Amino acid sequence: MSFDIQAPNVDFPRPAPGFVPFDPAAAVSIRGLYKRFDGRTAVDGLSLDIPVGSFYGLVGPNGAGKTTTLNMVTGLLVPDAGGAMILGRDVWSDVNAAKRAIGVMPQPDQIFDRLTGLQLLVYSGMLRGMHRAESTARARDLLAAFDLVRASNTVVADYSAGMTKKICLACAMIHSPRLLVLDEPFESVDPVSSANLKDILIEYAATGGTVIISSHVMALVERMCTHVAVIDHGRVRAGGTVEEVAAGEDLEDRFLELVGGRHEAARISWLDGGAPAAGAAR
Amino acid sequence: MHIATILLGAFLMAMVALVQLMLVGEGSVMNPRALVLYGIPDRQLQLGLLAAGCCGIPAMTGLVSMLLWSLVYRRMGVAAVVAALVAAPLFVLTMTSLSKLLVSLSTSLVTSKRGKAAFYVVVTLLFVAVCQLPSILANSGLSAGIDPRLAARSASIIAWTPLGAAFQLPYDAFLGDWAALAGRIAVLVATWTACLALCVWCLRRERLVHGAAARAAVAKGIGAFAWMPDDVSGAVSARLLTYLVRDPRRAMLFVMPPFIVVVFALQARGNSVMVWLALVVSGWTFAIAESNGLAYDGRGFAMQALAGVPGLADRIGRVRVYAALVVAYTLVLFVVVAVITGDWRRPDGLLFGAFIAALAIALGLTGLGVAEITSCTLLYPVPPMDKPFSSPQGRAAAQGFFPFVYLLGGILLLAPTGVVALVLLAVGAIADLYWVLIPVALVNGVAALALGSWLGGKLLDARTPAILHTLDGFASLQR
Repeated sequence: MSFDIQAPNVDFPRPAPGFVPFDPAAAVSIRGLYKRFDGRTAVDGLSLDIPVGSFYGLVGPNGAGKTTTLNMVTGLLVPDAGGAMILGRDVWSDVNAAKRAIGVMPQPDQIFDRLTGLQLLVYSGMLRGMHRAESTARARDLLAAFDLVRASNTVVADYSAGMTKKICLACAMIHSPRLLVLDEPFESVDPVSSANLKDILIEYAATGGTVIISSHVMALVERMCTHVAVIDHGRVRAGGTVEEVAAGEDLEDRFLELVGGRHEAARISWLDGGAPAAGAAR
Repeated sequence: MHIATILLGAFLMAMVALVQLMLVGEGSVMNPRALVLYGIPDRQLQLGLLAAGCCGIPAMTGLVSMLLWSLVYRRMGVAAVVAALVAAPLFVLTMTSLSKLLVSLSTSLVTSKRGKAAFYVVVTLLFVAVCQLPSILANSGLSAGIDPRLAARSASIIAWTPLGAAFQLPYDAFLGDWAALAGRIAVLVATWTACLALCVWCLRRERLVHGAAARAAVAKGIGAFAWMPDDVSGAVSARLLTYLVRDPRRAMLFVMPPFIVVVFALQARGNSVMVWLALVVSGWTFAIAESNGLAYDGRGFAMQALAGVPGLADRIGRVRVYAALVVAYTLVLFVVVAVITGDWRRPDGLLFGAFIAALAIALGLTGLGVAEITSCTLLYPVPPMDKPFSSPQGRAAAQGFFPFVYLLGGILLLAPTGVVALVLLAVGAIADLYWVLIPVALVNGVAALALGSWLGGKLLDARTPAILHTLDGFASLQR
């Protein structure tokens, strides 16, 4: 813990002249975003435009800087340099206003899980300035849409992983944001819940909402997303529509080509699955 | 000396087990759950863990202390000293076995969230009560009334129990009562065996029920969200109040005020001022958990950060709950103490009580004002809600020091009231006009609270990203 007051650095270095200016028409416009942690560069001058109405996938290996980027874009982490604009508004000029305009899906351990599902959604709505009656009505609608009506009075800590993910997504949607930001939304979710989540997201995007998801699952990104950006070492390696990035190849192959790191399967002499010829001591 | 040794020794043994349960408990590194994947037979695993426990620093220091304690018996002859030296490892083994058993039983049998919460509150209260016992005995006059024959009889019975047997061995050797000595060693051996068998049973039971869905906790409707103010701060208040009830680490604040009154009343010996002072202590310490409130909220605080809640709205929401509770508790306890002390019959007694209650509320509010600042700046790790007995690693100095900032800050912010009191004292009017301090203290408290909430809100706005980072660090310490 530090004793200093860490104010949002509104005057952080702006992109140098000559850089492409922010695109105020984009849902999200990022320019020269930069962050270092303990001498290690997590995000290295990342720039990206995410069009309104797109279903945008951010993919990259572990530690590529996806989550750090999303945290800076959503006002949870102060960038060392660069900036982001959401729906035409600079994030850090009025960070709370920017946060209220978007819906960020909390991680399962970033919610108050001793509240019941209904209470959590009402809380989430009221936190965004919605009135109690409207929050409660929308909470009930969301519980029905996410097939959680029977669990609405159950404490969220007793939910399964899939149910928890669904309630987290519902928390991000209750104020009907124009932009949804989801970090690994399908991780540890069973196939049934995952299919339901996807349906809800696709319908949301079809109504003009913008969805940004970060994921490791390339097949999912290829199937669901309209756009994708491959991030590695804190930079965008490739970005655009899925077809543009895949460049005629399978997206996963293209991803591996861009980020590298795949090596020949190593052979461990004693790891033989019980073949009689192995002769290792058992 | 003999009786005192047995009684105090047994008390010590019980305390050690209780402390183990509270401080080590589920946080123990040598947890059987950590070794479950290695296919070690249950008995062997428990024996290994027992051996590891006996090699730990607490056991080693206990052994050294007991070995040195044998010098006390040197005037009773060689046999007594040798018996004391033999008793030392036996004591350590018994202490470790009982501790392991208590930890095993508590983790295996108390599994539901509510059960764990209630267990935590009960054990913590028991621990505080036991710690207060010597002072209650000394101050209440009860100790003077202890019958020596009753003490001797109790000691002779306890000497045949696992808690006291090891302490009796030197006396048996001194008296040459070898049969009794052998019998007591048998009691100890039986204790170790029983503890081991029960620990193994706990392991097997856990294997049978592990993963079974515990009964889910339910609550109908939206609870406090239905009647709190219909705005952002109301949402914060409703969430906080719901959590205070469901979070065993903070639920202590509901039981501590009456507990403090009981402890003070037991020690008062008819002095009503002493009982009234319980209100001041209760008010002063009421919001101590709130002084680190965001750490208790943990990563859940991210929900507020994601929603862009203004800092002041958060502080108002939190203060509303704590201020209402401190005022309500003080007023109820004011009535209770007035009845206990009989001061309700005398107007001057009631006025004094009202003065003390005002002071308690003022201290509660100034403390809360400080808490709203420290909870944004002086955070320290806390145990997770699921494992309130575990001890969070790291920042030991902060854990020990930061609560004092809250305690001292609360008093310092009451300085204006102190100045008025000094003026009254200087002009010699304190005895007649001390009631003037009632409104002064209350205004002082409210002003300090308003200032603390405003400043806390500013700090929260400025430090939200840093606080989130700190809370992420604390969460990783809890794993």
